[in-house]
Amino acid sequence: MSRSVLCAMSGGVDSSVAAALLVEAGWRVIGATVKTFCYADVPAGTRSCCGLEGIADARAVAARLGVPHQVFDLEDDFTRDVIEDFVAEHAAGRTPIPCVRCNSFTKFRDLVRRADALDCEFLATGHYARTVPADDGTVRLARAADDGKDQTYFLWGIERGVLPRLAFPLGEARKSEVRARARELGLVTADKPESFEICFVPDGDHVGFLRRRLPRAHPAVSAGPIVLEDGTRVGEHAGTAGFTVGQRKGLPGGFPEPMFVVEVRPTAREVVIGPRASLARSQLVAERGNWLAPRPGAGREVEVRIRHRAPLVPAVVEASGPDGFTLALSAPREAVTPGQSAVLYGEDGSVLGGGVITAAA
Amino acid sequence: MSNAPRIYLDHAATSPLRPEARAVREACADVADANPASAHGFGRAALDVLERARQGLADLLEAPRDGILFTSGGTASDNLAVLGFSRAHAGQRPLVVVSAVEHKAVLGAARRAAAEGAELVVLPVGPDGAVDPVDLEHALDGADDRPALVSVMWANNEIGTVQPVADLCRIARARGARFHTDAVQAFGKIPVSLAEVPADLLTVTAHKIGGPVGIGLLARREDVPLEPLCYGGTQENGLWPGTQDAAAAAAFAEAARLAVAERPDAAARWPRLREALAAELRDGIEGLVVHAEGAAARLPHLLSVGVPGVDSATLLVALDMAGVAVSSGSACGSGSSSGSHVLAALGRERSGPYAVIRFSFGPATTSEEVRRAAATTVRAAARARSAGSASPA
Repeated sequence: MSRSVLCAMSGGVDSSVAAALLVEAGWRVIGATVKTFCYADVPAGTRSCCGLEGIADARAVAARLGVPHQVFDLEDDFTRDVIEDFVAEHAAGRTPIPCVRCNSFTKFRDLVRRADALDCEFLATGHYARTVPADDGTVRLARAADDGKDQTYFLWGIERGVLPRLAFPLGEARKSEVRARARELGLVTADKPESFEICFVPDGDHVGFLRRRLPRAHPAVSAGPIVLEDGTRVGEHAGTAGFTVGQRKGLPGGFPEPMFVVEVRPTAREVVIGPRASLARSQLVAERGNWLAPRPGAGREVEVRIRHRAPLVPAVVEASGPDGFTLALSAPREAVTPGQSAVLYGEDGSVLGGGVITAAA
Repeated sequence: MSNAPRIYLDHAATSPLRPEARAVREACADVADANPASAHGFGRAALDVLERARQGLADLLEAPRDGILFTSGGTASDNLAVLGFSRAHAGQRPLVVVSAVEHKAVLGAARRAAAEGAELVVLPVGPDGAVDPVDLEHALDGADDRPALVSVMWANNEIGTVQPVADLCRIARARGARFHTDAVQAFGKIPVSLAEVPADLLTVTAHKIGGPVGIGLLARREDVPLEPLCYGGTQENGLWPGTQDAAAAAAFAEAARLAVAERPDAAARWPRLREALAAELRDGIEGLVVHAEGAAARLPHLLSVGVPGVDSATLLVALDMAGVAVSSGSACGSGSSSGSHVLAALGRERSGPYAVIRFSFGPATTSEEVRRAAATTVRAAARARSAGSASPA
């Protein structure tokens, strides 16, 4: 009997082709679509990537490929691990990345357990990332061949022990090839647009989403002052959740130079704004960290990414522990945003680990 | 896929087309390959096939022939009954009473009716899934003189509970309300007769009894006002306009004839298979729950069980891979197996994973198949449980 792999299928083109490549390579593939939230209220006839249509497309692709498929209901776990954290982080004035939490917990923990239950050696996804053997005999997470598509920024939170069980069939692929392959195979998802929205906020209105989940008077969703760094009140906002560090949109005008959000202070209900120069930070603190390689000690030179698609920046580890680290950036960077991830890469391009940015100086 | 022969125990989703029904459809397609509404010989041949099918089904249901309306299936018939009734009384705030465990075709139509101005009352069910007729009495107390429709299924598609339709129908009619029953799962499995239970409206679909997919019927008492859902020609009394598929109707009637003819034999065989399956699962799976076990009457060909500590998808995939086709409650929807409104209505507390597996037998299901399905389920549940309790990798 051939070896089995559980392949997460979102109903998008990437995971569809990932599944197809595994089938071609002779694997016994089981398709798994994760149901993360309730679709009952989605009106009929609407297109929504991760909603019913995503499930229907994943089923259609599985049927085309001739592989079994099921919808795994992880709604309770996803709500606890991803949605509640998303709300709490925004409530604390940070700008979270729910995809990181979903990968850390829902996909690469909960779904790995389902793979165990089904005797699957591997869990595969359509992420653009690679796993590579390291000199010490362990497996490392490495950036995708298509650097523009690399998704390792979202994958640093996977438990290290799981890495040898992961398969990323698109690690060597380019996006254009993936679409071409999907068309060749006649997959219904071949020309599906990419989704950039948060799957559980299909209308893109994350403030509205928070409003339904936080007390009416919570600073994240109720009015407060917009202030300058010296405390001068220059306007009013409708809730701190609408603001993220580095943001320019939605701020009062009339200043001699463009103004940006410099800090969000929910306890004081304040959104602090300042000129571009005030955004520069040369040190950051990350917590809730995770290591995917031996932990880099103080003084170690690394590269860090502080936002998806942002360039890699040289940095030096000032301190590190099992759950976090402090970095000195080689040059000041703008918009080091609490809640976003700081992901560290070694000289060979593999992911050393990452954490959630909590402070920057 | 394993090399063992595949075992199909999902007849409550679709029961494969009976060879006899297929033969009838092909034979009729030759003589009835025209529009039954056409005024030429070809059309009349098709009309004759269609009307003989209608008569056959009417006889089986002990209902008048001209009350049998062909539709596209169970969902269409349920919608025509519920929404059609409600729309026929638009502006009068009609009362629509349904049970909490209705098929989504009824629940969806009832919610739509409510959105259009009807008053919707949802009757609770007991732990066995059955409606208490007393609750219907109370619900109809609020009807006053308004038009009212009660829609309670003859038997439940997910857990097999047979509802006290005779009592419910009697109560509804005594109070001046109309009674609709979705008999999609009951017909051909237990006696379904409009002479015995004089419902105003009754839904049947072909593909649950080995007829073709895409055709069903709504049996309608002549004086029940309904507003059509689609408009056009006069086919099916103008209530389901559109060209009829005479050959499909003939195949439907043939499948129904066979299902009803075989029923006494199956009624003796199926409960034995069901109890053997329940016993083997119970022996092999600690904590196994048999749904609707306490019900006064259950469908003979259907067994729904719950496996605590395992999620449905894991178990269904494992069974699928082993060539055992079952489902987790309703097969309708998106392929998702979670969040059954039926199990929720039983008052079952949700805590942790709980796999729901529905086995449903067909005319040719053997005890050997049932034994193998049980053994496969026991193995898969044990595997899933040991993986689930292990610490993550």
